Amino acid sequence: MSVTSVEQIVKIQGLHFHYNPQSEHPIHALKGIDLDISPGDYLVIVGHNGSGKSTLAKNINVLLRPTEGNVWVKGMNTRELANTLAIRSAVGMVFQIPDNQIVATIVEQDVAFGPENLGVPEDELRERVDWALGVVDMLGYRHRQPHRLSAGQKQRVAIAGVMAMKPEVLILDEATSMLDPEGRRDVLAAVRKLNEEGVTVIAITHFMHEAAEGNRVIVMEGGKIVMAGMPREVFSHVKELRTMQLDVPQTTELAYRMNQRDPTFPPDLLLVNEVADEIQRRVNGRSGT
Amino acid sequence: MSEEPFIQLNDLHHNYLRGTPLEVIALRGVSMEIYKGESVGIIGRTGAGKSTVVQHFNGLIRPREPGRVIVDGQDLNDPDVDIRRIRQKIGLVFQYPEQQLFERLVGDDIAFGPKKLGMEPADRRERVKWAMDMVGLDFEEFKDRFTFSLSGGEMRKAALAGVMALQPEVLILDESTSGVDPRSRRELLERLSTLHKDYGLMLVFVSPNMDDMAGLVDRIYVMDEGRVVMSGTTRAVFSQPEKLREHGLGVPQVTEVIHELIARGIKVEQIPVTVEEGAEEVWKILNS
Amino acid sequence: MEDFEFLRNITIGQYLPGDSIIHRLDPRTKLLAFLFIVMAVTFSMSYSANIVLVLVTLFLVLLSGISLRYIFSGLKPAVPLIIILAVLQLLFYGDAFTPYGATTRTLFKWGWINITNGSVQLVIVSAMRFVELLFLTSLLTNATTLTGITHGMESLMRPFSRIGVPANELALVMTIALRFVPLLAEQLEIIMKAQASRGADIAYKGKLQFVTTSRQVAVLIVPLFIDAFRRGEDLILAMQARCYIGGRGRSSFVRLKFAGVDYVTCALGLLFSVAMLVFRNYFPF
Repeated sequence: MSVTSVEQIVKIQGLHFHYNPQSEHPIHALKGIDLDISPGDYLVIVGHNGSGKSTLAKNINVLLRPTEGNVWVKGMNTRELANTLAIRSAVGMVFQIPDNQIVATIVEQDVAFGPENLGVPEDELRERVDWALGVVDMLGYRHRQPHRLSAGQKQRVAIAGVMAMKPEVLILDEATSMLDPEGRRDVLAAVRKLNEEGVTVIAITHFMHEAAEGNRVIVMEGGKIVMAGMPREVFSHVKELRTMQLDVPQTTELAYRMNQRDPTFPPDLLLVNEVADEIQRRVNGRSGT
Repeated sequence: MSEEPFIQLNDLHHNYLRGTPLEVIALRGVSMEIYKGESVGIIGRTGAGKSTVVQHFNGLIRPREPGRVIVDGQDLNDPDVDIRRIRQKIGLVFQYPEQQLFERLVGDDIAFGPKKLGMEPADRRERVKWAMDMVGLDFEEFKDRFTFSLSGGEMRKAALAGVMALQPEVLILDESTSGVDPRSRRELLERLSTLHKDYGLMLVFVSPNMDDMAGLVDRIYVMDEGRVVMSGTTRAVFSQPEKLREHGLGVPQVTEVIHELIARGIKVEQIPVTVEEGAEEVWKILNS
Repeated sequence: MEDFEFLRNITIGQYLPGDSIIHRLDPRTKLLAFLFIVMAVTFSMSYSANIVLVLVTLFLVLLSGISLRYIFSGLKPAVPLIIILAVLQLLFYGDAFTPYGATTRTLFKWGWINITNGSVQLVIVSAMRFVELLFLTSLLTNATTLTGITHGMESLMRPFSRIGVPANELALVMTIALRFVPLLAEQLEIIMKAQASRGADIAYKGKLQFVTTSRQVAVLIVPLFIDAFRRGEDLILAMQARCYIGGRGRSSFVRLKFAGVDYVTCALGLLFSVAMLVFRNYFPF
């Protein structure tokens, strides 16, 4: 197969995945995915339960291997067993349920789990743990028991645990869906910071307003990518998204409705401030202020 | 709204692990009223005490002096109170269906409540059918399905049916939308709205998400750190985004937009709680 | 009244933070000292030996700064058991035991029942030994974090890994168990509440008296098992994603180091135990 260019940190070609391929009723979860992800991207994947988004993510960090097609991470093909560890330490994954990914009974010991598995030498372990906890702003909690943390704090510990392996890609598999608004805010802030420092982020979510965090959005439905582009572009297709029974952020929906009544109103607004700005502009323009 | 509240909570205090070194204060004097026919929301961040309050409604937690809980005229401090009857009137649905479903077949699980009420098999079957209709689960299709082969959304409906099968007068939902995808969430909220409006079922809806409340509840109690910190109609509560933010909560984006406009000096007639209301309001602003 | 809070009266396993000498000892020291003293308890059948042991135990509790009241409260769940055992021993074990420094004297005999001064001693000594073991175990876990105990045990087992003892894996199993037991206990509580809300008969008297028929067990056990398995599945994925491939080649974040006081404590513990063993027949009564 062709060698991937170093430009793309993740390259996916013709990916098909079947659950239970040998059984009578295999589930065809991914039906031909082509996707390129560049270093530093913040890609958001949205779609319903069953659209294949989680399956896609697991094909990237080799928790699953393709039944057809190929996935390359940093030029390494995921089908080759020898690449497994290298890929998994380059692509970290944080899961939906905070409690079910924390292994140890003390925060800093859990964060050390990943690097310990990689055999990182003992003096470096302490450095990595401190750095990772600092990045997610949980350094003050390092001696605490995970049991006593809030869900948002637990997720940040999980992120630290993954970052301590110094991966280049961070996958968040619906990592905010069990959190309250505050917890979600804190986790998104931590992820944003990581992305600003160059970590490639792949976020799977069903919260539309979180999709606005990324520089790219793909919409999945029935195992295929049905829409792709920048958040704005994608969300302005309110009608299509509605038929797929996906939400758009309320701000975009508001703009869309205004656009329906007045075609000069831009329909592809995303942020609260943008909408407020546009309305204010029109009000001032009208009153001649 | 009638005179006497259907449910009255007075000055509730509660500590977990009392008397041990790990004691935690959960409630510091909470009072609430639910009147007949109402739909009420309890909102607050994790740890605010919402679940603790809600477990007082059906006697899972008994009030500590001087607290009092009165349900349909019955005082839960009275040692002779028939708690089973209270639990038939007040249905409580927990966060995850897996915490409740246990029977092999869906129909059997939903029949559990009626069985415990002492209903005869024929009546039970009718009741199960009724409950499944209420939640939108086809009786013939699902009654003999394996409980644990259902999808997440179907399990949620089955768990809800299991509680509805008691034919309660009040339905309490404790964070039922946590971790649920948008389509299922919308379905659930619509279903609850129908049950409330068309069947007169009183609702108490607990959630940390403001978006759930809009369009579903008439009144909201906001909790933080074991106390009720705000209360009022949905609209009134939504009109105070700064205060809500202080308590770790947000308002729906459309409400945020309107508040932003108010902050910029633009006159607004009514605080919207849904996108539809927001669109109307903005149209009015642009054309006044 | 229904009582849903399980963990309230169990003192074993509950870590209480503190800064005493005992808290600051290396967990391995505490494990070894615990073993030594328990051995001494096993061999002590005389009143005087047990008085010594009780005093030593209380002394250790005082050293640790843990409230005596708390440790005593750990006896509450065990009292019924102690009483049943005591009655059985008193009534039926008259000939099984010769009291120290005296001959067997029958106090009361009737059919199977045979009460001698031997059985009286047996009862009292057994009760004392039970209390000592309970207090020592409680103290061990109250003054040492369970993680500390896990790492201590792993460290002690490591020399045996050459003969195939999977020390690292066992330590991980224990850590995961410690991590998830409280979660499963919480989950069980929620399940009980959910089922009680539907009208199930749950926990009207005492904490563990809800099991009467297998039907009632299913109501609680099925959801609990499903929850445990789901968590297990999730955890496996998470561990794989974090590159876990078994104990070989893993480094260790936690490093235990012996200080002077640890050597001294181990030596004292060993000496005490050996002394109690060697001189056990020299105790007067």
